[in-house]
Amino acid sequence: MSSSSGGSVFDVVHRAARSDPAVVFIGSDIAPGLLSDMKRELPDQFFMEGIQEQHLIGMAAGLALEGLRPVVSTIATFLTRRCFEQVLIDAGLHRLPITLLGTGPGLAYAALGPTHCSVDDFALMRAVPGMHVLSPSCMGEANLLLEESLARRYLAYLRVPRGNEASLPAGSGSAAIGVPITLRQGSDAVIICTGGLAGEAGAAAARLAIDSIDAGVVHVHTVKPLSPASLLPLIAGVRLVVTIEEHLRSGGLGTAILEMLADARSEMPAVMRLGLPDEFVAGYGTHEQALTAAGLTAEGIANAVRGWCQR
Amino acid sequence: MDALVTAGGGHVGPSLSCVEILSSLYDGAARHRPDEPDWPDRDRIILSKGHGCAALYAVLAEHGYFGLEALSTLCARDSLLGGHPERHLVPGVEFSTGSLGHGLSVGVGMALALRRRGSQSRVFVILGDGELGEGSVWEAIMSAAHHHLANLCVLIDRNGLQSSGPTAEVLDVEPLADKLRAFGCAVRSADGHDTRLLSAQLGLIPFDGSRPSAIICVTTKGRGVGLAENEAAWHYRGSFSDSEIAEMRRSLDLLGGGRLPE
Repeated sequence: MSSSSGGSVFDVVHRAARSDPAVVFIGSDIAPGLLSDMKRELPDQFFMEGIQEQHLIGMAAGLALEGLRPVVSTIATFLTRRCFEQVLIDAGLHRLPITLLGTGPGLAYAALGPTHCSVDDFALMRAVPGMHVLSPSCMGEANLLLEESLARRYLAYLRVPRGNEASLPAGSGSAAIGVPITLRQGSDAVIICTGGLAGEAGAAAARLAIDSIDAGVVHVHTVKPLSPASLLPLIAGVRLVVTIEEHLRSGGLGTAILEMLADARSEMPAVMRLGLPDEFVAGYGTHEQALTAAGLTAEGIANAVRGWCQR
Repeated sequence: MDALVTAGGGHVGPSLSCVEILSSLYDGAARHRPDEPDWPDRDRIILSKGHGCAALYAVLAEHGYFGLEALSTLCARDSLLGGHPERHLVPGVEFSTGSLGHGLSVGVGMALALRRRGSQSRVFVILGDGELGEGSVWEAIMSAAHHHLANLCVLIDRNGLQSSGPTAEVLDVEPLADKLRAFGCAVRSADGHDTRLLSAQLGLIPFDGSRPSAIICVTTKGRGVGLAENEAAWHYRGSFSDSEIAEMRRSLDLLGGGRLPE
């Protein structure tokens, strides 16, 4: 993908549908104004269906078997938990080009409680053979990843970022599926982040520098498939790898990185996985408050790394 | 039945209850080309109750989708024919089923796509009556009616028996016709073993030009094999005793179609 696209991932869907009649959008009872322009312009390619996630994934599979390329969207928890078997069998087993856009990434809906916090979606979607698990840092990056995924006819799950921030993480002019983005070089430790935590990771590295801890930052927007060929050189020689994610500590990015390191049979750095404990999300408040409580802010990350270095 | 005996076990009852439903479709009601399984204008047939696949394999083989000899490989390690049908392995299988409650939603998606491109193809989805316990089935029926999918026909193998016992005792689906009507289907019933009657009904679809059709096919689980008929224990058999095989052979000989291996 050569250039950033304006608007949100939904605008990307609209543009893709305009240029290819095989692209269809299926929403599950989401906001009334969403893609109203597309609904008007391309009514045959727009479905706003009911609260029936299991059915909608099956329906998307049926459409895809007839040559269409459905993009299905609803709140991330419902899109990954409620219809997991349909995603696995209808979409995955049949290797269909279906895109899942999950809104409300990680702790974004903290105020709405554990039913709405998507903190196990990486684990669930990673378990689907052939699934691409995409966790962009901002809408601009999400748009690029979605364009590429649609063009390549991937089966993909994408965590839709909050807000319509279009600027890509510092130091990167583009985003390509599978290619990690180095945001900062570091020789002592490397912080591997995903989703909207790139900014916190960068700020944590800046704090650590004050304490003479040289920490790099790598943003991994493609949680699956990881690219060992790209990632291993970025962490070669460091003593500590820190993974941060708005997800359970088990089953997500940190787990994937550990598996990659074990499979690589290279010298194993210490790995610290920052994320959420094996508990249901508790407490409400803002997204920021939830991140603070989880230790997923610059201060929390820096404290954790500092603690490890001083032990 | 040869295949199931050779395999040493399998879903006997659920296969025997849907044989005539499948043969009515493939023998006449459905448009299809065995030598061109992906023919774009074919009618789509999804066996949502995938555990009845021994019957599907037999009908497909009889029509030449693959050789009859493949039937004797059922469930063997390298066979294309598994205990549930897989699309990428078996010519003529539209969708891989095995987990219940998936097929109708996929059929809805196909029917939507076919209608969108002006195709005359229909979609037939065969559900078990025990399968109706899956909530996703009713999500799909609501959706099919909402979208006025007259090119979709649901065939329910109403054998009245599920794995653990009679559906009336395990989870009663009655009043089934009323439920289907209330959900927006045009409903008829037929003797699911009478191919003449079934074919006549299938010739009348869509029963209503703006609604999906549903046919409640009243069947007997284990039909044709005396010791299996209406026996929950014969939903799935992990193995067959010699005397059971002998009894199955006797039953099929009476029907004139038995070729069970010695």
